[in-house]
Parts: sequence; C-alpha cells; structure tokens
Amino acid sequence: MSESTGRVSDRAERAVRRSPHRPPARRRAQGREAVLALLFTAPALIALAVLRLWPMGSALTTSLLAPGSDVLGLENFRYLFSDPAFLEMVRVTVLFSVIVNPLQIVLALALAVLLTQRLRGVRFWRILVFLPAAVPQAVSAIVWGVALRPDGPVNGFLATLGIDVQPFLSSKDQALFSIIVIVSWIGVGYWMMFLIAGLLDIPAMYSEAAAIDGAGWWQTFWFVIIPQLRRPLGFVLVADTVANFLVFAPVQILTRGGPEGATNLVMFEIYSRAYQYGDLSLAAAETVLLVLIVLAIVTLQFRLLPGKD
Amino acid sequence: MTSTRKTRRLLAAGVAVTLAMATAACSAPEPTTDPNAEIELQVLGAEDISAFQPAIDAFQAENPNITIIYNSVPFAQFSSTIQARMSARDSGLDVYMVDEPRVPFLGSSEFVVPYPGDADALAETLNKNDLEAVTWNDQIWGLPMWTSSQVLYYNKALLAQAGIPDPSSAPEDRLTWEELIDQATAAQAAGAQYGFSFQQVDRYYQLQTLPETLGGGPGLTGDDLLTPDLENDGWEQAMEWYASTFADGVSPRGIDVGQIPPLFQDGKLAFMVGTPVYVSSFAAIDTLDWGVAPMPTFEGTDAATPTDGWALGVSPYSEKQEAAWKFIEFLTLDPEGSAASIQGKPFPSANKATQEDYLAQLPELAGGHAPEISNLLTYELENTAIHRPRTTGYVVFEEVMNKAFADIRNGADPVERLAQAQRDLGAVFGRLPGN
Amino acid sequence: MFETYDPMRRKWPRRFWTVVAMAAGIYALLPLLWVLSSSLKPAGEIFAGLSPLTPQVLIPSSVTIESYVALATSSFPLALFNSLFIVTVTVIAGLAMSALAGYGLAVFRFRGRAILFAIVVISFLIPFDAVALPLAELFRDWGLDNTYFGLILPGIGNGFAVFLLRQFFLGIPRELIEAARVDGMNEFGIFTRIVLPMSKPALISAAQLIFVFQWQSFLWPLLIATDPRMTVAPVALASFVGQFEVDFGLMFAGCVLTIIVPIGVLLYAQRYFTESVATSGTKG
Repeated sequence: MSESTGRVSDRAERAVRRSPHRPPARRRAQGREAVLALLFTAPALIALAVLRLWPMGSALTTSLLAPGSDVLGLENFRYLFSDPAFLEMVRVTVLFSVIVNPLQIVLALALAVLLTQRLRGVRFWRILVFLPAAVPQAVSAIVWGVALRPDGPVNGFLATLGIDVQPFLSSKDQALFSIIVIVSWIGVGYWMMFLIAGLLDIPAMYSEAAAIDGAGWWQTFWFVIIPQLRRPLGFVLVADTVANFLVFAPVQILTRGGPEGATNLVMFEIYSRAYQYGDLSLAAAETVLLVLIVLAIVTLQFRLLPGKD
Repeated sequence: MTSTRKTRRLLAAGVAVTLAMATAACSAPEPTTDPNAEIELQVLGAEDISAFQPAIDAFQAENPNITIIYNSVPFAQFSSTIQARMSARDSGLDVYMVDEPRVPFLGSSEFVVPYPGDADALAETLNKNDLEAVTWNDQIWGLPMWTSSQVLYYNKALLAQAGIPDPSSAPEDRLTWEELIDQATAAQAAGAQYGFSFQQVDRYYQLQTLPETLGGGPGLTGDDLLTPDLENDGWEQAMEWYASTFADGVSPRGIDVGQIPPLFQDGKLAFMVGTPVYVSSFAAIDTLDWGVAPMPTFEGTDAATPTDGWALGVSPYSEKQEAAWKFIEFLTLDPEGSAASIQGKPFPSANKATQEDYLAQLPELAGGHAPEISNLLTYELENTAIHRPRTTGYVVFEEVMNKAFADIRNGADPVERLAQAQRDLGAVFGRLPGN
Repeated sequence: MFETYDPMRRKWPRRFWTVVAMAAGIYALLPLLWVLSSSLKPAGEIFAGLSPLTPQVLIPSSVTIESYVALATSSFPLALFNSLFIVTVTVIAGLAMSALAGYGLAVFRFRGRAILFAIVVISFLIPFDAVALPLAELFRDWGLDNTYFGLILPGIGNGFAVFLLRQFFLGIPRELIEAARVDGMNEFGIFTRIVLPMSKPALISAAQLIFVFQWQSFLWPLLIATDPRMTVAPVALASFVGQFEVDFGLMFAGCVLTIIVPIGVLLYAQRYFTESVATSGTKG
C-alpha cells in the first residue's frame, strides 16, 4: 500500500511543481469544461431525474387535485391548513427536529473525536457504535419496544437505581423523547462515521503547528480542527436534518403516531394518509409541503455554512 | 496491485454488471395466453406460508400446470400494502386475502373483481355469516375461507393460586366483565403479573363488542354508515370501563399486540380474550395449564362476540383471473381444498362441511384443555357473533378508531377522545370521493 | 489527527477514555446482544427474565440452534443472498456514478453548474417512500418488476452521495488538476489516477450512504419485488410476523445473520480509513 500512495503523492508533487501560471483562454475553456462536466454528471443526473424528480412532479400534480375532481386547485392545501391535526403534526415534527439534530450531531462529533484517538481496540468500538445503522429497522423497533415496556429491561435497570416504572412510549410526555433515543441509537454511529472519515483526513501538521504555537486542546479543536472539518460537518448537518425529517419505521411500528399525536411525525402522517386512509391527493400535498420546507431549511444551512463554495 | 488499477477494475466491473443486468431485464419471458401453458399465480396473504402450504400442495397436485407463488406481509402492513399495490395497478398480484369488513371499500375502489361464478349456489357450501360479509351492492367480492370468533383463555394455576374457581365453559354461565375484572384483580394480588388483556388490545375487531352490548351501536350510523356516532352513552360507558382496566393496572399498557400471547404462554397473564387458533400452540406448552370460557359481557346485557374472517379475492389487474378463481374455489368450495386450508393453522372454516370436521377435531387439538370448546364456538357463531359495519368508510373508520383505542389505553380521557374521534371521522369522511 | 498533542492526556489517562469508548460501544451493542442471545434460546423463553430483570435476559438457560436450522430451510437464505447481490451491485454502480457526478460538479467551471447542483440537492430532499407509488407504476410499465435491475436502480441514484463526494472533491487543490492537465493527462485519467486514489475515505463514506439506503429498503421491494424468489432480507424478516403470533426466534436469528455482513464489510473498509492519513499530506 505504501508503495502506491507514495507514487501518487510523488506524481502530484511533480505536477504541482510544474504548474505554469499563464492566463487561461477563458471562454474556450469554459465551453470545454461544460461538455466535460455534462459527460461526468449525466449518468447520475439522469438517474436522479427519473428516479426522484419525475415521480415528485407526478406527486405535485396529484397534490393539486381535490378528491374526485379533475380541476387543478389548492383545495388540498386549504384543507390541510384548517386541520388542527395537521398543524399539531407540524408542531411535533418541528419540536423533534429542533431536539434531535443538534443532539445527534454533537454526540456524533464527540464520539468521532473520541474514536480517532489512539485507544485500545478503537476500531472495534467504532464498528460497534456504527452497527445499529445496519440492523433492519423492523427488528430494531421491536427490540426497543420490548426494552421500553413497563416490565422491560430499561425499567428493570431503573428499578435497581430506585426509580419508579416509567411509561416511555405509552405516555404522551415521554413518547417523543423515547423515539429520539431510538433514532439516535441508530443515527449517532451512522453520522459519526462520516466525521471520522473527515477527522482522519486532516493532515497532522495542522495540529502540530498549533501545538508548537502553544495552543491548548480546546483551542486546537475550535480554531484548527473544526474549520478543517467544515465540509464533512456541513454534509452531516444537511444530511442529518433531511434524514430526521424522514424518520418513519420506529413511529409506525412502536407508536403509530400516538399517544394523542405526540409522535405523529411528518413521514408517518404522509404514510397513513396515503396507504391507510387511501387519500393520495392529501398525501401528495403533504409531500410537496415537506419538500418545500426542507428545501428552505437546507438553503438556509448552505448560507450559514462557513467557507461556502 | 496498485490501488489505481484496483479502482479502475472496480469501475469496469460496475459498468459490466450494470449492463448485464439491463440485458437480463430485457430478456424476461413474455406473458403467454395459451391455456395449457404453465401459469404462475401470485398470492399475497397476512399469514406466514405455513398456514397455506398444505392447501397449495393439494392444489398444485391437482393442477400441475399452475404454480402458486405465495408471499406474506405482516397483518399491520397488509391492508396498506394492498392499497399501495392496487393504486399502482399492479398486475403482478393475482389473488389476495380479503379482510371481510373491507369488502365494500375494496369493491367500490375496484380493487377486487366480483365473483363470476354461480353466486346462488354458494349458500349451500359456505356459512351465512361470512357470505353476508363478502356481499356488497348485490355482488360477491371474494369467497370466504376462514371465519373467526373469540374465547376467554384462563390460566388455571394463576386462578387456583388466588382461590378462584375455573369459569364455566357454558355460554349461559358467561362471566360479566365486572366479575372478570374482580377475579383478574384477585389473581394479580395473588401473584399473577397481569390480570387480564385483550389479545388485539387496541383494535376495533375485539373492542366493538363493548359498546355494542351497551347499546352504543358500532360507532357509525346513517344509510351508508358514513356518519360517526361515538358520542353516546353506550360508547362512553364502554370506553370508561376499558380505560379503567389500564388505569387500575389489571391490564398492561405499553405492550405490543404481538407480545400479548407470549405473556399468557409464559404464565404472566391470568385471563386473555383471543382467537381459538391458539389452542394448538398453547397445548404444546407443557408448563401451561389453561382452559377456555365464553367471552364475557357487561352485566345485564346480551352477549356479543366478534366475527368476520378472511376471504380470497381476485385483483382486477390480474391477467390470470380464470386460474385465480380456480385456486380460490379450490380453497373455499372444494371439500379437499377447504380441509387443507385449515391444516396449516387451525382456523375456523367458512365452509360448512369443513367447519363440522374442524369442530370435531378441535378438542383434540386443544390437548384436553378445552373439552367444551366446540359447543361454545358453535353457539357463539350462531347466536352472538356481530359483523363490523359494512361500509365503504370502514378502512378509514378502523384506523381512526384504533388510534383512539390506543390513546384511551394510554390514559387519554375517554369521553374527550371519543369526541375527537368523532370530529376526525367527520373530516376524513368528508374527503371520501362522492361525499 | 490531533490527538498526539492532546494535553488532556496528562490529566485524563488514556485508560479513562478507553473506558468511555467501550461504554459507547457496549451501549450500542447491548440491544443486539439481546437479539443474539434470544436467537439461541429455546422457543418460549425469549421473554423470560425480563421482569424482574435477571441475567436470563442475556444468558440462555440452554443454547439451541433450532431457530437457525428452521431459518436455513425457510426462504430466508435466498432473501439474504438477494440482498447481498443487490447491495453489492448498487454500491459499485452507485459509487461510480456518484463519484463521476461529484467530480464533475466540483472541478469544472461552467455556466449552469448551480442548476445541476440544485437538481442534486432537490433530489435528496424528496422522500423516496413518498414518491415510490408513481415510480412503481412506471417500473411496472417498463417490465422492471421482479427483476434485480428494478430493485437496484433506486439505490443507484443517490443525491446524498453525489453531494458528499462533491464536498470532498472541492477540497482538492486545483493546481494539482491543472498541473496534471499540463502533464498531458486526459480528464478521465486525472479522475481515476489522481483524484480517486486520494479519496478513499470519502468514497467509503459515500459507499456507506448507498449501502445503508439499499440494505434498509423495505417499502420499495414490497411494491416491486412481489415474487418470493426476488424477496430481500428485511421483507423476509417482517414475514415472520403472523396475524396472531410473531416468530421472534426466527426473526432474531435472521437479524443476526443480516448484521454479520455489514460487520465484515466494515472490518475490511476500516483499513482504508487509516491509510488515508498517509496520503493526506498531498492536499491541504
């Protein structure tokens, strides 16, 4: 392995050394680069257009059709905004997002830092922390359902600490929190892996330089490591936010949106409208709203990201 | 090997495999119309394959040119899967299990086709209840295969521990719910972890009987049964009682439907209302001593028990409807096929002759734990069984009600929650096409 | 890596942090240990020892492999094979496409770049399960139902992976690429021989995205792979849930087998995580 990496870096260094500094023939270069870019991006863009954008367009049309009508209009949206259950769902989803995203990102970053230190068995612990993401969701939901039963092991453990039986999923005050714990059990290790990849990619010379300047651990972390990590961190921020809007299986299997709508997150709402109530046009309207809202949030995140490209 | 070359080889392999798959997809065999040709029937059910295997084997032995391909989806996702696949006009599904109360919805949505055979002759072979359940708009939308009923299971050891005599298995000596909860509480005090639970603890199927016996009706009213009717005394009284069983801790909260039978099997539950299908699996547990009694009713009310079962229907998008009906008729009307349909799991049959044989075998299947169970089932199916409301709105109704039951179980105020369900139903019914 | 200059090490011994790392690993593992031990328990003992909590929860009174034997004769091995095959092809093809696109969006300057990037971003905001219905209809018209191709395709177009790789490729110094051009290397050569070899951690991360999406996919196979011969592991696991009874033994045994694969892949992939440190000196 060292042979190949050595060769790549040699070649790269040679290339950098020889790099001439002359003004490029701008327009021609732009045209050439556009053609190249199309060649490189075409397979993926075609796949995305056919597999995501096209069906979304079809959902958009459906969302504009009131049930039993073939005239385009905003009736479905009007219905949604006058439906208290819908508004409550929005509140629950926002509350969930506001808690779960910072929680997961902070924990994932902390674990990523911890598990890139030179510790005994560190690679093994990394795999363990990641594993929940690979467990089929139907099974992990059942496992947690059993764990959080009133007579389950979590309550059994609390009892040894002298804490009373907690209702968890069957309480409207604790159910959302329980779902957050479950999706974080899955999500933290998953997002951690992206940050570990990013951390391992930061050249050691940066922290070496900081150390020579006499910077402490926290200073190095904040002023050297975090800026170097901005791209993976930006990715995790955006991708985690989107992923948490799409949480579905634990809700469907464990709480079905209850008790009293306390865990009725947007994807379960869309699923139950479409596949349980058979109201495809309302489900499509909710999907359109969801995409618009997530788009707005992600655009905002892009603007706030440091070192925007 | 250098990593560069390795990367390139991976890329090339990726492209090659993708191309190969594309070719494979294009060369898939064309569907054929030749009647003697091999036919594959796609069947979807909510039961795992062991329930169907004997019947499939028997059918394939008689029809060597037809191969049955059986798939199952968990009950909780079954109805939504059918809706998704029928909305997507899926021609890859020929026969599916039809939950009988969903017949009006499936028929009006054109998700099943009407029975093309001689409908008048069916009454000879199939039981009246289930035939009624699959009839809607004067047409038959599937042939009933299994019917259903419910009994009260009790754990003899847990009752003995509390000094409670075994309940009688005679329908006329039925416990009242009030007595049941007293005994369940006593059993719990004497060491049982839980006193009582419905097996399908927050589903309309079992709970409909509570308001019905108290005169509250099914929860729907009007000509089309599309007007919610939940804010009446019967419903409120029934739900207050249901809520109290959890509030008092006699019945467990926070345990999923699928984990209730293991509670009874492990000797942690004194009483459970459940399907007679359990008799064979309970009988297989040496450490469990149990018995069967009639499902209770409220004091001073006439008993009611759940019924309706599973029919088999044909998808309108199936290109093999003739073979599909052949398979269905075999499982429901043919004596041999119908008998095979309950060999895998002991479901009560909707076929009269098969049901007689079933009742004759049932005490033996129960391993001597329930000698009177056949008389009991016969009595319940003839006298106390009530249908669920037959309306195009049933699917939505059931979803809304199940959510309400779950909330009441978890501590929501019953009266307020019923009022909310009433409002929710008004809103979703308002969106049904043609309303 | 910045751990070498960690002054906290003096205050907090390495052993303490090792214990914290272990604790995190065990917290993640504990529920899975229950799955593993339950899969080895005799039928009917799975819920034993839950309350009051006893060691029986994690330690079977007697070990039996009857669940695994029953699993071997069911349709599960085929489903697991299908999942493996599908996920392998998806990762290879999806990674190739995403890397090309990520590179195209990161390196070339051209008008319309923002629009192409916007398509990628919007595509990953669209919840796949919510648009699966119209897509399933389209796939059926194309005759892609019950084909491996139909199961693989949706996993290949992964906007997240394109986005991730673009982010990474943006960090590659432009001079490196320009210099290679001057060296006479063609664009595809630059991509495969210079950029990809130094991008292994990013490629592994992208592979992880594609892998988990496909490994977890449930609704799509339910809609499109209706033939039991085409069924995938998560769907096969769910089919152990009967109407009145759940076969927890079979389900947990199947779950154990389903997790073994990712463990193996990860153990292998981790080698590249450390290797990247050696190459990272070339970029800044």
